[in-house]
Amino acid sequence: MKIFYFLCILPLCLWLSPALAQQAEEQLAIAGTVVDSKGQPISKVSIYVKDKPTGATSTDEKGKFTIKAVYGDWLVFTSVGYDVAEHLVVESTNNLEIKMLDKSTNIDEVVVVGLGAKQRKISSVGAITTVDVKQLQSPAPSIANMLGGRAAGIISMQTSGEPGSNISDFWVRGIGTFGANAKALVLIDGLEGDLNTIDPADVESFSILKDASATAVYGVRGANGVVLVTTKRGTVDRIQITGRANTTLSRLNRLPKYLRAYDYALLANEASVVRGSEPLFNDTELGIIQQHLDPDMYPDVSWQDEILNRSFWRQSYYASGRGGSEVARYFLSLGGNSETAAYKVDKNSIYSSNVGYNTYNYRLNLDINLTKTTKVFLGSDGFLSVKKEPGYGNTDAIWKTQSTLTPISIPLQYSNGLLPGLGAGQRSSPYVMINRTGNYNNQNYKGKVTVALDQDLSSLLEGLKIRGQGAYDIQSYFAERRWMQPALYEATGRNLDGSLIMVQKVQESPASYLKTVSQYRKYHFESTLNYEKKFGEDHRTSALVYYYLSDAKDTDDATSNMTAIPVRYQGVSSRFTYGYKDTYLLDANFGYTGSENFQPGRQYGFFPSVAVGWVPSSYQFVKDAAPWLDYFKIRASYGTVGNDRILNAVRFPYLTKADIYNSGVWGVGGIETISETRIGADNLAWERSIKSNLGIEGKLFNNKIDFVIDFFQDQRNGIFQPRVQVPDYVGVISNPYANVGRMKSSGADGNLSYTTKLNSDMTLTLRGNFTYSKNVVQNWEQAYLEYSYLEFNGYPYGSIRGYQSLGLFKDEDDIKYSPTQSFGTVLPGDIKYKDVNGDGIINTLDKVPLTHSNYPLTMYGFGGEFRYKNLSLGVLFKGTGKTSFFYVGQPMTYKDVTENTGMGYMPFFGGTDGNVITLANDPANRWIPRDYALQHGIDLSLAENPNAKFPRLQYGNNSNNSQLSSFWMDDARYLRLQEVTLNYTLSPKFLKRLGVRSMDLQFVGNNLYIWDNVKIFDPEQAAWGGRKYPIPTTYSLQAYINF
Amino acid sequence: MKDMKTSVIIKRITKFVLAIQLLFMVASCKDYLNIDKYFDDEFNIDSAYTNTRYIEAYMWGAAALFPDESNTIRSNYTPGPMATDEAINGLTGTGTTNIYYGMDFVTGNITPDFYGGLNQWGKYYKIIRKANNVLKNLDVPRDMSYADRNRIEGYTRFIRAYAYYNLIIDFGPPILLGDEVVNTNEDIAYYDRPRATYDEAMEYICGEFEKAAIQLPTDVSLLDFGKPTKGAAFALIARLRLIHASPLFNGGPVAASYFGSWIRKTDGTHYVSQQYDEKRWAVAAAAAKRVMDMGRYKLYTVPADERTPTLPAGVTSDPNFYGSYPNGAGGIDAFRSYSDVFTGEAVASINPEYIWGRNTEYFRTDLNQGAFPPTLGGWGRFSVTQKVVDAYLMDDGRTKEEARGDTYFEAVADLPAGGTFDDLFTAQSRNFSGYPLNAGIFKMYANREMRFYASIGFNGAVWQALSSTTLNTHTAKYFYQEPDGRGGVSASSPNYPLTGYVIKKWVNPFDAISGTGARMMPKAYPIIRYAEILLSYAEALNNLTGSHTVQLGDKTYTASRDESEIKASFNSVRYRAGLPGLSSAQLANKAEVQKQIERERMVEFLWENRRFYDVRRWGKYEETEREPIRGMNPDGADRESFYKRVSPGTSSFLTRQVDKKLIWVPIPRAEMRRLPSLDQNPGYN
Repeated sequence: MKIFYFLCILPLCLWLSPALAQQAEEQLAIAGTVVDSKGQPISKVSIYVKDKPTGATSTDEKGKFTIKAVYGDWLVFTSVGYDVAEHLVVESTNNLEIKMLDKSTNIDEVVVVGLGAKQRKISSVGAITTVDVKQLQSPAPSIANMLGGRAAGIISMQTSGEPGSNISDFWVRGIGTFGANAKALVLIDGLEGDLNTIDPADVESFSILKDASATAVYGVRGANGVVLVTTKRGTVDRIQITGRANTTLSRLNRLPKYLRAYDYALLANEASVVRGSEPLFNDTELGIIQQHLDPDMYPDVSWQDEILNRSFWRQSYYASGRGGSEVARYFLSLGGNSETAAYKVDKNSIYSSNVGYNTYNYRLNLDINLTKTTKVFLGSDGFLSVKKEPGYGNTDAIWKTQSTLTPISIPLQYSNGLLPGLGAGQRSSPYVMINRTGNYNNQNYKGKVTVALDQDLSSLLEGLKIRGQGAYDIQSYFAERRWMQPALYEATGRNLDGSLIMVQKVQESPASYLKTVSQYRKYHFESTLNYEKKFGEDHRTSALVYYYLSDAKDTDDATSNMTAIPVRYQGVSSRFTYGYKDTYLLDANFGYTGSENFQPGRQYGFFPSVAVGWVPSSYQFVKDAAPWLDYFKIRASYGTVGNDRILNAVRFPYLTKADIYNSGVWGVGGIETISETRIGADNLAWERSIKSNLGIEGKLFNNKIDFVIDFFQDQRNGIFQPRVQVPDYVGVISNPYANVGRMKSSGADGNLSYTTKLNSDMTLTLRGNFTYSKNVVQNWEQAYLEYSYLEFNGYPYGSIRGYQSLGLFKDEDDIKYSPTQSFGTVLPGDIKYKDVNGDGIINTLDKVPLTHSNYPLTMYGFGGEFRYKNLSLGVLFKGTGKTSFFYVGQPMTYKDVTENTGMGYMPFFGGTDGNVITLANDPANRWIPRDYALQHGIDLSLAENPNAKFPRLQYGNNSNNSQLSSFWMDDARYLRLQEVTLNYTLSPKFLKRLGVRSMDLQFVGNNLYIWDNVKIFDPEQAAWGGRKYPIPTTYSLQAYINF
Repeated sequence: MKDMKTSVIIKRITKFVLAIQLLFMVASCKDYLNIDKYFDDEFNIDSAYTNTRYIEAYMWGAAALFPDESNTIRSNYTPGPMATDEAINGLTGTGTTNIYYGMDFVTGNITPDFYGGLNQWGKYYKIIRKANNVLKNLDVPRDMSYADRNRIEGYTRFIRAYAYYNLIIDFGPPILLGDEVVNTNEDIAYYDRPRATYDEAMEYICGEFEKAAIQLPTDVSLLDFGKPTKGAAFALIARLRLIHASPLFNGGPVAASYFGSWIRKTDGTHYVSQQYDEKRWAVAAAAAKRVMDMGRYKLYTVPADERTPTLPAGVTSDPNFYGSYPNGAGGIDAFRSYSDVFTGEAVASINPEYIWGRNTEYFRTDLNQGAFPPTLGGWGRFSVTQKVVDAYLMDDGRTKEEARGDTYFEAVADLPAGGTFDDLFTAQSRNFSGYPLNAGIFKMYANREMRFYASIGFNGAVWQALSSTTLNTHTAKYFYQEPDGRGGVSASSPNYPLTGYVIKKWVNPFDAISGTGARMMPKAYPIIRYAEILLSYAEALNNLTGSHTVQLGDKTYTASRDESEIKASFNSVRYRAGLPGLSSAQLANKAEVQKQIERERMVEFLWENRRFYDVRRWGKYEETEREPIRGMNPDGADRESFYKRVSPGTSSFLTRQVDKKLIWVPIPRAEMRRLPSLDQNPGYN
């Protein structure tokens, strides 16, 4: 432990070492020319003396420059599109020629590998996906939405298209644990952050760390992969100002279609009659409905038309400036975004409040050189979102209602002016929910301030640097709700005078006010000691020690003395790299991380990892034998990462808690008693993830082809679970948590790109990537189960279990000679299930895993970019592999509300709350008894169709048919034309006069087309059965102006 | 150059000094993850052992987990009276909707997978774990005096033994843990262990009660009425020893038929000994005698007053009958002597008959409400069977069979020639011991012993409900169309007495449920009362053939079948009820004495949760359960059709099962699956 204390403070003390004194020396004058690889002079190259804040200059139009420096100074030459060049000043000269090489020919390309460190790509041995930032400039609601299909190693899913909720969920290499924390760690400039708060234009680099070697230094937090984002920093250059404006038209293309009143009534009659009831509507009523004679009693409402605008708008503006001098450099950006939703707002309603989502963000990065060796960094960013919703709050309810409310139940408004509703909440009309329930404003602010100090310690040891950084994160949430409920009525008939008989279903509630306030704050401190040195020509080494501590508290979690204890981490980690001739590479890492969640003595976990790489393309003989092989690397890594968090935010699971009560003992009241409220487990340790990775990467044919493939396996051990197999006789008051769960995931990911310059005006790039990840639960402690297929073990995590459908019952005999189904009486045309355990009865013991979870196992994307002079066209497709879902019976949870699907898809699912999808109107799609078909003139060849999509109709829920079964299973795989971008770069002379250097005009189309099976719903939302705001198609016009 | 080098060295030294300084400054990071300081002023489990106050509170926390012993009818405790032939209830149905788990038990619906609320297996082990925690940590508190320690250890041992007591009577032999606090987070294989045999468990539990008794106080203050005493431990030992000596568990044909093939799979031992051991009866007798010898307990009696009815004349079977209590039935008010024990009239905390009892709210909310006529706000359906009604003697000690045709008529056929239906009903109203008996009562209910009137609500009985000024002095009528009858309530409601009888034992004349001023007298439940010790003593002695010497604690007892001892203890229970004692002919006959004891226990302890265990230990469970439940006909609209013995035609009656497995509640399936060495109770799978 002593060593640990030392390590954790070492970096701290070192950076405080006093700056070295400077010595005044003689000034030397240097003059010369900067040229490119073809010998052509380059203008506007920035030149400065390294580590000296003053005296920067730049080349003129002929590439000429003059500058003053002292002996031993380094001159630095930078220019956009070229590598940085440096020159050591040893004497005065006036004809120095500096050659700057094109960026594309650079083999010292770097990747960001964690802890702010950059590694030369050639010597990096971790599994890291680097995403070209240029590809992330699409007008999407969040960077998270752009990752699926763009980045190898990401599986993503978007379940809502509603502004403010339309953020994709994503997982690095799929879901690896059934415990807590399945999500990746997102680090923005080294600090934990939220991808949604960052404007893509602020991003300098974006990489995803996937294996143990890359994430080990994050110890605890890296178990589910790490997304690393660095933001732009100031440059010693003239000021660059970029402006962006865009306007986006969103359009809801895929909405499920529901029957209108007359068709609904006919089918409702069928649903009643085929189950032996009387028809719901007699011929007179049918006539009234068909002729729309009584819009009060027999309305015909298309709720989608009444409450939705198919199109809506979004605008966003962004401006950034960067620049600076040798002393101080800055990057500043401001952005704003405004989006409306598709709901139709009644302008007459005083409560009208269109759903809208506005965001505002800023970022400031400031670098200051205090001395030659000391730099200060000051960063600050903020993100404010304001979401407006109707007072009802939950807009999903609106979608649920439009999917379940029949066209004939209630009108938009009764002719006597009263508002209709079958009941409170989701049984009222969506019109009321949107317009008459007041309003609800949610403000969410996320901000961060960080200060860092860099100290070059070359005076102690060459190549040694130390950095310390402190950050303060604050998030605050403030929601104000003005809720009111208008009186709702239902007309039950007409009086003799023809006036409506109104029954009040919901009482009026006057406006009430409710607010929710919560806050989150986090302190973070970290310090890094970095050493990098090249020994001779062949030996490159680097070493790094990283220490951090953090302390976070969320007012939402803090509800008791126990939960109010801040969440704390402290850790030290280290990385050592060695490369020999860029051919043999070795990385060794370890993280030694402590969490307050464990008992003293068990707080720290040690997570080592090692990675090796071999670059055969570096050998001369390979270069000779395979000149087409520009670069080839094989790398492998193995190591562990940890997790300390327990599902449902159980804190300090090792503690046995007790409370004092006043109880009755044998009828004697008021006796002081003490009882445990929770039993702790005393041998808890970190949940461990053992990750192994094998990757190959290379570049072929003059760098035209670039590929990376990684194979991985992630073995999770010790996943936290409450014990359920501790026998009752042990006598614990509650079962303790323990490290019992085990799960394995494995798969592969990779990408391939092809770039070619067709001629000087035309370039073509083609890209593709894929991610495949599957998992299996190895140990999930469960109470005893009758059959092995009921266990979770041996099946993928989140496997969906249900009955195996054997199709529809053919006739009465089929029912008679089949096992008994325990969900109510069945008739021919109802779903027949398989008796898996052969006990002659279909019940929950016959549920088997039908498919893995709703999340796709495979995700891929491909696309390309074609550039002709100033015009470029980009195309991106994304898709998933097989993803099963169920139209009916699957419980879907959102915001802690779980509902079975089926409503909105299965006809008449909830009786009067049961809408009917148009699909059911086609007689070929539903099972119709032959005699009913005969009586109602339905084509007899379609009657009793054994392959019908819907079983025999029933008005109201049929509990036999609405079981989760393979009957309702479908494949939600899709291929989406995700994005088409047309970009035209202008740099006309007249703009230059205005100081505009260049201007890009872009047209971006998003989600333009889908190839899939589902058709009626968006495949990503298929399991929700139309109860979600669909993912819209968007068309954006975007302009970039660079000053 | 040399100067420069020196200055560099000095600079480096300076840096190192600075570094060391910083090391100390930031040394606080050592405690950064330590959350203890947040808990210093918080309470956690370690605090529970730090001082005497807390460890005692923790101990009472264990005791607080015990179910309320009076909750025998509805709540989640034990099968109770509803699982026997002394009670039945109209509210039925199976599964989760049935909250009368005794009914579930007796209809065979309790399985290792479905318990209703009877699964107390885990709860008793929670108590045992807590008790073991206390014993393990008794040395931790520094402020603990010898007396404190003694008291806490005594109570703790009692609590643990009592948890095992509950396990062994309802679940059969438990897994014995001794003083072990089993680890909470181990591999499943670690936990596997077998049950003790019945005999091992009996010895262990009785041994623990013995140890507890040494340290338990003899008395508790009135305010602490309910806390166990030395007498409670001794009395429970007496109860357990009697069970252990009884035919079901003591070799012989009954033990063989129930447990002959029930063998522990780990070592092939019989769980229940197949060898008869007469000495067990002697141990049981000694254990009962020890309680009697304590001299603290006696049957509760109320002196006779002007309302006390005179003893029936002409009793010859017992020459002592007219003597003064306790040598005869004279001088006391038999009705009140028995009734006041239950109705709250006699304050339980000072009642010498309560060896161990407890105050309970249960009678107000459940038991009495279940019996009260619906007209008075009750449910009117906690029914007593005809078998119980028939078991009560006539007030002169004759059985109803002996009295038939004399004063006792059940049907027109019993009447002397020329008798009419009207003659089956009394002509005079009576009022004795404060108990009003209407005129026009069916003669089956006339001239019965006092415990009958104290315990049974029959058709035409008066519910005084005196605390209510609006709904009182109500005559319950159970004819079909009457407001308290089957049809009067509503055809589908179960709020009528299935048998025409309800339990009135705990109803005080002042108790009222509804109406202005309705209140209930506070009540206590006797967990074990002195009458049981007396009857147990008589039963144990009656089963002896030889003389046995038994060592209990530091005392030696000699027991043999001493007729005067049997007579004394048995008769004091009879005399208190106003009845003559055993005749010398009866005393001489072992089987007759046993028969009388069985009848006596049935009526004396009606609905006190004894019958369930008694019929089982006697090996008579199948016999008593096979007799159909009978009662008066609730579908009868008039006297002629009502007063007929019928079997109640409801599903709860029709589906009653008789099965050897119903000796005990099964062990939960989950526990069976976890522990390969655990054997299930016989008959359950």
